[in-house]
Amino acid sequence: MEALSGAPHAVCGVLELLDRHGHVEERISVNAGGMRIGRAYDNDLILDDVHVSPHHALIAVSEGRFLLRDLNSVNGICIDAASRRVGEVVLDGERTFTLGLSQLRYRPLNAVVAEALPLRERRHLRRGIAWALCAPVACLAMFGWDAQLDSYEAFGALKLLNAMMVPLVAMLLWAGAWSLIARLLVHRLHFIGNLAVISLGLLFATIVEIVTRLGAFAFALDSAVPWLLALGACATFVLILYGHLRIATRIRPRSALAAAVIFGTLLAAAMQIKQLVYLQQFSARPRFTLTLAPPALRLRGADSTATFYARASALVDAAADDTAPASSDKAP
Amino acid sequence: MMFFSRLLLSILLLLALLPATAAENAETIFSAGKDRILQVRLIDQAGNAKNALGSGFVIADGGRIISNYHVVSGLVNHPGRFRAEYLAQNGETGKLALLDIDVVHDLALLRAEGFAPTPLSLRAEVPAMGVRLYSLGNPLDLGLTIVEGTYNGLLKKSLYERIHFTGSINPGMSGGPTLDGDGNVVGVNVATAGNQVSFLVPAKYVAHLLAHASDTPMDAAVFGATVARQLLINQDHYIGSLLGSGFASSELEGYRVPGQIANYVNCWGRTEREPRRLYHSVSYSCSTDENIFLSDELNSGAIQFSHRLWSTDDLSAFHFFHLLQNAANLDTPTFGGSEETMGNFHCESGFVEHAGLTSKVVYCLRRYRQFEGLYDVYQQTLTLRDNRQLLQSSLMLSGVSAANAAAFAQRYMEDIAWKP
Repeated sequence: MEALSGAPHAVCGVLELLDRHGHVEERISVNAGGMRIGRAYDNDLILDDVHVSPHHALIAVSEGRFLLRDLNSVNGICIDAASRRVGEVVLDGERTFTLGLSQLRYRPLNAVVAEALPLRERRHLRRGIAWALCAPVACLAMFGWDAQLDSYEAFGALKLLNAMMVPLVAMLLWAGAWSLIARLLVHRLHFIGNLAVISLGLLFATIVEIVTRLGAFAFALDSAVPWLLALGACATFVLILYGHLRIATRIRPRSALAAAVIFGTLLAAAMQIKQLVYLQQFSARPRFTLTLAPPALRLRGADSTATFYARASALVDAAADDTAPASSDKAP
Repeated sequence: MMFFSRLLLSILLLLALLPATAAENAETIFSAGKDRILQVRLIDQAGNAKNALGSGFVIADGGRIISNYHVVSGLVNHPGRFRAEYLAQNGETGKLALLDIDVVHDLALLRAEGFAPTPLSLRAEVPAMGVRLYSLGNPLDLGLTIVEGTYNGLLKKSLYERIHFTGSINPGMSGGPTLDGDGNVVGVNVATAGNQVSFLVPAKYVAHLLAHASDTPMDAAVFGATVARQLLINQDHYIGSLLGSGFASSELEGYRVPGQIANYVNCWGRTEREPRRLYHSVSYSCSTDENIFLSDELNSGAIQFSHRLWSTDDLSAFHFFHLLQNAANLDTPTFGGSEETMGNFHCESGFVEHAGLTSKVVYCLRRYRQFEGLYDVYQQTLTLRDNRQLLQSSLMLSGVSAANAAAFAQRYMEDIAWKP
């Protein structure tokens, strides 16, 4: 080992120990005297990783350059997203490498850092909260309007309040539950953010349902309504889960989206299966989805009665496909 | 003066004697007929206990018995699950075999093993209004009973011919005979509407069944086909007749709608206008009063339709149609039947143009599993003419062929028009 120019204890760079999400867990200065890394207690940087050898690697100066050198460890040094094993790495700039399962990053002293962000003024904070609160307010207004649409009688303030109370309590409890998760995982509640996520999700779901039914009416796609609503439910679940995962965890955006898509689709599929099972069950009452809207919204032309009944004649074949349940009659 | 006194005395004596004569007549008829009337029992094979009770009477040699189809329908609907037995007045019991059925007129012809008294005879001519009749049967399993009543002619508003008998027929008397003063069968007990309003199947249908029936018991394999054939012929007859004659129409605030399309269809009106409600509606509904009994849970051969005109002055178009969308999806009728006997409904919907109107229409159909070629149909028509007024028209047909159902539904829809 040879010393670089200057005092042997002068700091020449910084070694960062990263967690699995890439966040810095610990920083240690690297000086011109070098540094030994391993699991043994006589190392300069001790890594509590069973896949790291007792004396795993050494940072040393060679021919005027900083080198990370493997000390014949079991698992060696891997670079390029921990896939390529190397015996030696030149630390001439920012470099990320893996020892065992521990991810480390070397940064030279001259590494560029971003400018400091100005402290947010209180009025900006208030504006952010106000915007975030717009979502639950809009969502509650939508629920109130929706309840009023289902009423055959005049809708007073008390009835309106009553219609909004249950969704409000449900939204607060949901946001509270995700805030607890956020407190555990990122050490902050983010209650307003979680409330905004669930509010926007429910707002989206209500709008999707209205648009679906109006669209189905306009183009006479009534039979597709259950499937379109299932698709809308899937999109809603994905949006809500993605929003909560981004706020309450440190998962990367792509991973959060993947998790939201998987769980959202599973939830929507479970709901759709339940609906399909319900429709398969026997009913002595005709069951159908029929959309209705003001006549001006009709965009599809009308059939003649002859055309309609010619189309309806296919129902005879559909009815013939009904399989009979096993008979409970027994021979005498 | 003396003459008038004697005349008055004679009239009073006659009046005093009349009830005694009637009572004596009932006693005579009961004595003469009791040995030819049976209790018909349907026995559950698994539990070996009675499942249904009715009455029957000997109508021909060889122990041939007439009863109601609805008394022994279990034999047809669940072959193998039940057996039929009789209980005579002397306490004798024996097996009953099903020879033939007339499901439309609710009659069954059976043969009693080891029981062949002299048969009752059918009355050939129609009785005069007010003729005293005597109904016999086993009401509520209480033993053979005789009920006096009067003949009140044939029902005028019934698709299926029925005698209106003013007398108390009770459960268990079904299938028993109603006799005239000479002991001849006028009709077969079949139904009651309570308060001494009862109904009989005219004797001519018994004669018809006897004339066409075979002497050998029916094979269980042909039960379903026999019922289906009879129902298909029957529906062809009345649907064909209705389609051939054209529908009578009624007027509903500017709309012309199918009205009392036949004399056996009964129509009612209703206006719903409540101060708190943001809409009002006028309803007009029609239905046949008599259905064909198929099983405890399923009747057939009915025509029902209703028109409801919804109007609003206070609701926005969006709100009004949203409410009606809920009504259209939820206010659907319940047809009878179970999964064992009926398929599920299958529906087709779309916009249809008829008589200058455009409507949203849904047409649903389900099949009878046991009776090939028969269907139940439901149709709902919602007119799209106005933002503040909508005509919702529903049609229910039960036990019809697919072709007749479509032809009837099409004619029905084409008869809905805007004629202010």
